Amino acid sequence: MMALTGKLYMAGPYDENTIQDITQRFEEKLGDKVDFVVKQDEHLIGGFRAMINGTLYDASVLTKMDNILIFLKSESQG
Amino acid sequence: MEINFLDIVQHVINIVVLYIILRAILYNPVSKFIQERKDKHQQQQDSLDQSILQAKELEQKNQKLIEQNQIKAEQLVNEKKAYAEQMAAKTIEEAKQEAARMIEQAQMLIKEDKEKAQHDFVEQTAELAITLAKHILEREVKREDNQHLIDDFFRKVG
Repeated sequence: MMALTGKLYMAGPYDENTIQDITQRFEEKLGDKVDFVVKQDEHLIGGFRAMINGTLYDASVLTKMDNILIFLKSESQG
Repeated sequence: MEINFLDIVQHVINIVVLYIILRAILYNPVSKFIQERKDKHQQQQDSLDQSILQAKELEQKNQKLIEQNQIKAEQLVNEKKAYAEQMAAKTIEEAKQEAARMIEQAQMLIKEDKEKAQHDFVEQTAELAITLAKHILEREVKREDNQHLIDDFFRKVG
């Protein structure tokens, strides 16, 4: 069985256990083995972003903050 | 002095003959001349009367014409005056409408600018708040927070 490959961008404090936890959870979700290339990206502030087979999974603080900003702007427009 | 009857008769006859001759020679031409003068004078008088009559008629006609023209002039002046007043009222009304439209437009622009300024202010405030929050979170995110983010993500995506 071919493993899925992807990139995992991490921010904030994490360790190898955190990487394994995320990988395992994606494998359970996708039903396939996942091999991540892990990269540090402090721009994300916290959480992670994973790109697997062209699909982006975003659990970063940066995106949450950007969503809050978009919400506030849309609210200000009435 | 002796009165000679024959001389008297002769003188009478002479006078009568002279009268007849003079009448024949002078009276008719003179009468004719006088009559002609009289006719001519009468003709001139008639012509003069006719001219006076015509002049009076012309004067009356001119007077009537002057009165008619005066009436027309007054009517024209009144019409022009009424038209000028109407145009002035129309111009004033149009100016008022234009002024009201400009005021309304200006108020609308002020309102739009105010709303835009408020919107920009809120946006800038939100951006500033989020930027500050990001800077704070960069320093404050702990391992537990990260784990919580990961757990929360997988709980939502299943």
